[in-house]
Parts: sequence; C-alpha cells; structure tokens
Amino acid sequence: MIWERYLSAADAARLRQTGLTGPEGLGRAPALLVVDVSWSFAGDDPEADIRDSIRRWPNSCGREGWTAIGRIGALIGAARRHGVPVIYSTGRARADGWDCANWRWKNARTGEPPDIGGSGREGNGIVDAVRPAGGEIVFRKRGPSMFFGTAAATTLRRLNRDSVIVTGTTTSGCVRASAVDAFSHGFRVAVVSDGCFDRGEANHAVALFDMAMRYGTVMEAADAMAHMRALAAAKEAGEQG
Amino acid sequence: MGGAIWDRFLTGRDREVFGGAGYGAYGALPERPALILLHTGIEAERRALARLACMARQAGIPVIHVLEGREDKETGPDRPQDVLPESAASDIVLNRSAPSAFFETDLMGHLNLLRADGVILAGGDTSDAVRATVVDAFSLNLRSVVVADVCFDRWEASHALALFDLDAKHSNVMDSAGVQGWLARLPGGLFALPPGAQ
Repeated sequence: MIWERYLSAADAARLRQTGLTGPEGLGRAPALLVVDVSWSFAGDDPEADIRDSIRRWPNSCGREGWTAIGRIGALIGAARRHGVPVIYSTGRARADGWDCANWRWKNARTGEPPDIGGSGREGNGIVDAVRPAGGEIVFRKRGPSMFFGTAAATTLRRLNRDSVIVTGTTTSGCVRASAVDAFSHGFRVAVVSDGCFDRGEANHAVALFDMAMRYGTVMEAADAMAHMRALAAAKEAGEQG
Repeated sequence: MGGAIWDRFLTGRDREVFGGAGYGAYGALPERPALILLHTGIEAERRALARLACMARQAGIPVIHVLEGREDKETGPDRPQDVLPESAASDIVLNRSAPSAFFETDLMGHLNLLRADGVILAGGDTSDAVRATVVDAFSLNLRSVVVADVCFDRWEASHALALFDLDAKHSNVMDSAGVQGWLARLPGGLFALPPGAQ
C-alpha cells in the first residue's frame, strides 16, 4: 500500500500483527462526496510541478492532483449512471475575508490573491472536469470538514444514505476531516486512495493509513466503481424479482 | 517549530512545498486558554496528563477531562473527583463518543461559560482524538496549542504527521516546558472556575 514507505520500522512491525483495524463494511446506499476540488487546490495547469504551481496558487497540489481529478471525473460518471447521489463541497468566504481569519493564523499566504492570469477563475470555483450537474448538491463551507456548519449529515439521512465514498482534496485536511465527521455521524466510510490528493506526499499516505486504521475502508477508484455497479445491479435484480 | 518529531517522516519535496505555500507560520496564542485532557486510560499517560493538570491549576487555568465512551450513569450529582480520582473539585469532566471532544458534547458550552478563547490539548491518540478536536476547535475559531510531549499514539508516523499537519494549519505545537513558561506569564485569576463541591 501507498503508506508502507512512510511508516517507521516499529509501525510496520505492528501493522503486520494488527492488520488494518478500521470498521468493516461499505454500506448499501452510498453517496459520492467530492471534497474541495476547486481551482485553489488544483491550480490551472495540469502539467505543472507542485513547486511551480504553488507560486501562483499557494494551495494547489500540482500534477498528482490533476491525475486524481481525472479519476474523480470517472467516479462521478459512474455514480450518476448507477443512481448514487454526488455531493460536492468547496470553500466560501466573504469578499473582505473577515470570516476566514482562522486560516490566516498559521499561513503567511492566506488571502493572497492568486495570479489567475486573466482567466477570471475564482479560487473556490469547482474545476470544469468535475463540475456539478444541475440538481446536484454543493455545500459551501468555512471549516475543513464538509459537515461543519452545513446540512451535509441531514441531507445524507434525507437521501436515505448509509455510507459515503470520499474523494477530493486535501487528503490530510478536508477529506480526512469530512471522513472523520461522516464516521462520527454513523455513516460507513470508504476513501478512494487514488481519487484523493494532497500537497504533501507523506501527509497523503499517512492520512490514508490513519483512515484505514480508524474510520473506514481505503479503496482504489476501480473498486469504488465496481461497488457502485454491483449495488445498482443488485437493486435492479431485486426490483425485477 | 523546529520539529525533529516529524522531520524524518517528510519528503524533501514536502518540506519545500509546505514552506513555499506559507504554512506553519507562528500563530498567536490564546489569551484565555482552557486545558483539555483527552484521557487514554493508559497508566503512564495518565500520570503525564495529571502533571499537566497541576501546572494548569497553579496558573488558574480550567482543566477539562474528556473520557472516552458514553456516560451510562443514570442520575446523581456530578462530582469530578468521583468520576476521575486525579481530578480536582474545580475540574470539569466530559464524555465523548466520537473522535472529537466537541462532537455531540457540551464542551463548547463549557468553554463559553468560562469565556475561554482557546484550548490547550494533550492526551491521545494524537492522530485520532487530539487531531479531530483541534480541527473542530479551528472551525469554531478557537486558538489552540498542542502539547507535543504529552500526546500519545501507538503509530509513530501517525503521531508525527498529525503534529506536523496541526502545526502547519491549525494550531501551535509546543512542548510542556514551553507551555509551563507561557502559563506562568499569564495574569492570575483569569477565570471564574467552578467552586467545586467537596
């Protein structure tokens, strides 16, 4: 797994004994969560190395981010085909930035206007490759978690969801915070390892490890698509039977 | 933070990117902090948390103990010293049933009653309860401090990366000596603490 090279020798030895200990089970009625796939976190150049990308978009995640965004697009397509609701989040702030003061506490560049090069792209705008369709739900949030100060939990219950499949960015930040809150609210959690991205290599890998150890299942995009397809097929068979 | 704890877990690119993106700046400390101890039930860790509690009481800072697991006591007056032997009568004891000590608990209400503007976090696990609680504190616009040498996790990489991520974005990670020096400089009598029934 992706985290192996980031664990200490003691961790690796312990893991061989414990195995992954996150709660098992994927649920039967998932929603696909797409966390914060905005221009801010993606940047606008899919080929750019992250070290160049952060000069113009300080929060962006470089090439690896765009590779994951391609997979998220495919997952969204599969979710729509199989009747799995897709729920998005992105950041929000007043134009004067007053309400994101906490993000400035620890970051010298928060509030710096990105060099958008005349594109007119708003940092919190969701990138074209995963643009929400009409009727899909978008939560705009100020904290890391999609659930904090939003109606996400209530919405999932109203949609009769028992589980979430989490994608987006950053793995160690908003994805993780959203997965922890989904877990706390009693939903089964699956996190798509190659459908999440982070500016940090170690941060990405160890966040996935933590989530697999504590909060749910970590799976690849291909397996998440197979899961959604299988649920749809089972439902169809049930309706025909 | 000159963080030896996490340095060996990061890649060279990670160091470059986090610095370049502006993360890990030194954030202001809270002016009216409450100490939150996330108890793990492990004896050695319990003693370290108790020492931190003494330090806070000497500075007149509220001590809030958070125990894992739902409370199943039906009735009866709450005396902290009955629930947790090492607590003082003026301490506060809460139960949590999710990673974050804020999730479906009275913690924010107690902090409002104390007029606290921030929290000092210690206990465990670093990558579970400590981390989730700090992230909620951040979302609630509370300043926070994490006491690195009194945070515990059985996973070394998870412990280190949790401290790194929290110091990068949400909190100031300090050691207990640093916290002691800071608390000693705070004005005395900041808080109207619970009087505590004997």
